[in-house]
Amino acid sequence: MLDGMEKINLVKNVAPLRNVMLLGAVIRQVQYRDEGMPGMACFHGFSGYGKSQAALYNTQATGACWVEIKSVWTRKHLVEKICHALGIPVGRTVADSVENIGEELSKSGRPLLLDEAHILCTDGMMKLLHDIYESSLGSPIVLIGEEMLPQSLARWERVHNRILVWEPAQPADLREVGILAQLKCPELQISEEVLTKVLVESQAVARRIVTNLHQIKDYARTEGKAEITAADVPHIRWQIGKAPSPRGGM
Amino acid sequence: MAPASKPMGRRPADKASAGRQEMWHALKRTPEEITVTAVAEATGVHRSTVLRYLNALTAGGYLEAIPAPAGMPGSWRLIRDVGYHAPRVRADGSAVTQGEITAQIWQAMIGLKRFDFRELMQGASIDIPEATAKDYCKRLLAAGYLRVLVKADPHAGRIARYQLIRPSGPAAPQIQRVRQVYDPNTGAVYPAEGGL
Repeated sequence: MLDGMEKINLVKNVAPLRNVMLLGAVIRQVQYRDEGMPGMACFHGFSGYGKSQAALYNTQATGACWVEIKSVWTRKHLVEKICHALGIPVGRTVADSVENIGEELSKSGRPLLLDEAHILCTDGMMKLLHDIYESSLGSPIVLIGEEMLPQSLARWERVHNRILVWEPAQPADLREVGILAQLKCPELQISEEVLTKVLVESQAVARRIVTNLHQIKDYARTEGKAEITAADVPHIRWQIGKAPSPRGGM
Repeated sequence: MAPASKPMGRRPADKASAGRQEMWHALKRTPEEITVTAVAEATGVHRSTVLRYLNALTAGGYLEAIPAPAGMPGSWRLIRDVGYHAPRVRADGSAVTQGEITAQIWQAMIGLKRFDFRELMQGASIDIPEATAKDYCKRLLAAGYLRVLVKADPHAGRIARYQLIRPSGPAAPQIQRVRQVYDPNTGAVYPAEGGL
């Protein structure tokens, strides 16, 4: 695309998004903490704020080990998946695996990111998490989960007071809508009014912003436009994240 | 022409014999006294290869050479243990960066699960050339790692979306020159069909 040549300072990846930077700062904080400080962190926020996207980028940037927890996992599954993600052999028992994980984490210095950590809020899993933390001699562990994660964790004091940083994920702002627009539809020129409209209609939730940018893209494609201005706003089918109300006469 | 009995150069990844990983495990068994002979015997790797790797590790700060009396073989001591995975170091001790791009694309595939090639580039922390991201998707698709969710439609300006259907492990599948994909997680080899 020749007319895109002037856009030389394009955003290349998700790094400038705020939640990505916040999680990066959290990881650095626990990695380079002072002696004697606890080594776990908690990054929590509402669904769709881009926590997992942030986790992915920071996994790449720090060489971390990222595991997304599933609700049906048993303790054995969890340690197996962590071993698998670290690329180390799975132990014969859960205890063996915990030792292997602890050794690998402490020696390699890789942070462990546990996504969907609210699922871990059961007695057995919390004990296991504590074991992993202790056998890794306090290697950085970041729990990423939904908004109520800190309250849920409060029930397990042993884990709760080992958390150094509590960082809430932030809603998107106009600057981030601009970045996402550049990432998701780099071929479109979208005016500031439209971006503001996107932010409002999406209630500042990153996932909905992306959906609405997609709607703009669809609209631009069918109308053959490369520039979206305030005049186009009424014609775009916005996703406002509400269930449709029931129709009359049914 | 090299004689047929002794092939030249490095063997393909799927036919490789013991390498860094095996040498690393062998030297970790005796961290206080590492000798070329012991590592070569434990792994079957040639002595000169072992010596080269030990020297590289020393330059990288992982080992420390213990001076030996004249005429005696030298030995090394492990001073920095980085865990299970062998450090990938060049002769001067710097880290090997080869394979970094595919490693990041693969990690992004595992993290995103559903993606197009642009999202893979955006989820990476290093610059990934567009052609590389596209090509890697194409070859993994041919080898059966991906499923097409949305077909590309150049007229509508739409790029293909894929889903990862074979998340085999943390190490990125390698595209080999012999038109096949080698999976270092399982050791399996998949032919990249379709005349790519």
